[in-house]
Amino acid sequence: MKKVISALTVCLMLSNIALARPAPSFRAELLNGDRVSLTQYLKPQRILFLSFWATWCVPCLEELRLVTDRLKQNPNLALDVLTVNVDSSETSSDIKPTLKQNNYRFPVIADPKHEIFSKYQQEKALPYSVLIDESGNILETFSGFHDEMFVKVEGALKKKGLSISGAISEKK
Amino acid sequence: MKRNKLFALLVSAAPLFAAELEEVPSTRAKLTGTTHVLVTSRVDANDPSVAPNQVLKHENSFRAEYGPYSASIGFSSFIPMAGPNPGTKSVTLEKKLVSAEWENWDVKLGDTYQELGRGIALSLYRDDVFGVDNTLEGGSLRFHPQGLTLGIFGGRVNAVRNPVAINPQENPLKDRTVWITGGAASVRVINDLKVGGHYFGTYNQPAGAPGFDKAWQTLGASITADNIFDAVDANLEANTFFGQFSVLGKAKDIPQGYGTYASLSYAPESWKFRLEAKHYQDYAFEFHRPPALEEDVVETTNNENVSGARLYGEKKLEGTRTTLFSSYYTGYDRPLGSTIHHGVAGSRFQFLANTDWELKAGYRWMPDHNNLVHFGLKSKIKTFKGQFLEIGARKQKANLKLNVIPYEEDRNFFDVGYNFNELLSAQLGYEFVPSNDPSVGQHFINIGGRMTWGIVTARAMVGSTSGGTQCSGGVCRVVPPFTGAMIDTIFTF
Repeated sequence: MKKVISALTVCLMLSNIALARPAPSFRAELLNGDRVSLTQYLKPQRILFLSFWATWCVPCLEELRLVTDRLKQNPNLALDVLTVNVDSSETSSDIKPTLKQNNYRFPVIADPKHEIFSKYQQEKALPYSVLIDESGNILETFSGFHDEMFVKVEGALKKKGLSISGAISEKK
Repeated sequence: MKRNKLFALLVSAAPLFAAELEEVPSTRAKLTGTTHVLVTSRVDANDPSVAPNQVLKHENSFRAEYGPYSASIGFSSFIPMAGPNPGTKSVTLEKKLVSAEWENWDVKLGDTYQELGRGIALSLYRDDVFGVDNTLEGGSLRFHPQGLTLGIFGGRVNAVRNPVAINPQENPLKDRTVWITGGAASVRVINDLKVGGHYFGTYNQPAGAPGFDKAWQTLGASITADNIFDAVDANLEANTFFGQFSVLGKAKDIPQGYGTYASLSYAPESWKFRLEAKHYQDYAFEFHRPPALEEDVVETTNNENVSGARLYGEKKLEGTRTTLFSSYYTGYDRPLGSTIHHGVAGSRFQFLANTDWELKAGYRWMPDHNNLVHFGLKSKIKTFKGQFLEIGARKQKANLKLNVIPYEEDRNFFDVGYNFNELLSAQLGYEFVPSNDPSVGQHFINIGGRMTWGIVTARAMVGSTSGGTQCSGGVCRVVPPFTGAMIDTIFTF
C-alpha cells in the first residue's frame, strides 16, 4: 500500500509539469452528412472550441447556450465552435429536437461509440471542452461547466494576440 | 491461422487504396496516452470482521498518429495488495489497433467498437461504470464518399479481462469465442433522407471445440428522414434475427427474432415532442444495446420480449429559465404477460437568482406485479465567484410483488457537493435504505472528492454505498453494496 501511495505521489508531482499536448486527430460525419476532419477546423489566427455534450447533460446545454450567446454578441471573436455529441443509442433520437428547440446552429458530430471522446478524455465526464490552437495543440481543457471558463477562453485568445473585442468574459 | 491471413490481406490492400486517394497533408507525429489506476479496499459484506481485500487495478493506453496513420495499444493489470482473498495477479494485453483514415476510406486492424443503427442489431461498446469493454478483434474496411457509406467487418469479440471498475460485469467470454462477420451500407438519397441496411453472422465456438455450436444471422434496414415539413424528424429501424442451432449433428431452429425501433420528433419554437416505439420479440442477442425507452431508475432486464412506446414533451417558457417536461411510457412485457406504464413529470427552473433547480417525479406500475414511485431533486447554488454548492436528493419506493408476498424496497439518497473551482470539489453522500435487513445495514455514508491537477484527474471516496440499481448510458444493473475506500486516478498526456 505504501508503494502505491508513493508511486501516486510521484505521479502527482510529475503531473504538474506542463506538457504541450497535441489534439488527437479525427475524421467524422456531421449530422447533415458532411464529412469533416479536425484539421479542417484549425484555421490561422483562430482558436477552436471543441465541445463534447449530450442531450441529457443540462450543464452541457448551459455551456453551449452561453458560448452561442457570446458568439452572437461578438461575431468577430477569433473562436470557432465544433461540437461532438456523445449520446448513446438510448437517447440519440433527442439530438435533433434539442438542437432545434435551442436554436443551436453549430456543427455537430455524432459520436455514439465515443471513438472521438475516448481519444480526448478517458474519464468521460461531461461537459468537457477543449481549446485547440491553429497548430493543433490543446491550450486548455474544461471539465464541468464553470463561469471562469470564459475568462480562460479570453486569456487563451489574448495570449495568442487574437481578437477578443466584445470581451468574452463580460457578464450579461 | 485464418485470422492471420485476413490481417495480411487487409494490410496488403491498404496501400492500394491509399495510392488512388487524396492524401491528407502530412502532419507532425502525435503521441497521447492515459494511465488509469483504481485502488479499492473493500470490506467483505458477509463478514465485516475480516480484513478488507485491497486491490490495484490499472490500465494504460497509448496512441500514436502520423498523418492518416495511427496505432494504439492498451494493457491492464490486476494487482492484489492485501486481504484474505484479493485475487490473482495478472497483466493482460487488452486492446490493440492499427488504422489508416483517408478522405473516403478507413482501414482498421485490431480492436474496434462496432454499432449498427440504434444498437439493436449489434453494439460492441465501452462503459467504464460497469467495466464493459467489448470490441471486435479483427479488421474493418469502410468506404465513405459524400452521401454513401459501405463497410465490412469481421473478427471475434474481445471482452476486457481486467476491467478497471468497482463493480465490473463478469467476462461474458470466459469459455467460448464469438465470431462476427458482416457489413453495412447507407446512402443519403437526398439531403434529408438516408437509407441503410446491414447484415452479419454470429458464430459461437465453445472453448476447445473444433467448430461452432450456434450460428445466427441478422438482417436489418433503417431509414432516417429529417425536416419533414421543416420541423419533423423520423427514424425507423427494423432487424430480424434468424439462425440455426446444431449440436452433435442435431439441428433445430432458434425462434426468429424481431427488433424494431421508430422515433418521430417535432420541435417547433420552444417546444420539443418525441414519440418513440419499440418492438423486441424473441431477440435474444447479448452483444447489443437497444433503446429501452425507460427512465434511468429502472433496471431494464427484459430487452428481448417487450414492446412499448413513449411520448415525451418539453416546453421552455419564454423569457425565463424554466422548462417543463413530462413523458409517458406504455408497453407490454411478454414473459410476465403484463402491461407496463410509466409516467414522469418535472421542471428545471431558477428559484432565486443564481440558484438552479430540477424536480422530477414519476410512477411506474406493472399491474399485479410491481410498482415504483420515484422522486428526484437537484440544485445548483452559486456561492462565491466560481464556486457553487450542489444538493441532490432522490427517493425510490417500490412494491416488488403485488400479487405474491408484498416486498417493499425503500431507497433514499442525499448528496451535497461543493465545487471550490473547476479543479477541486468535495462531496458528502448519505443513503438510507429502511427496507434493508438491519444486518446488511440501513445507513450508508460516504465522503469523496475530485481534483484535477495538470494532467491528473483524481477521485477518492471513503465510506459505504448501498448498491442497488445503477445506470449508465441507458443500461441499468443492480450492483452490490460497497464498503471501503477507493482512489481513482487518470493521467492524460
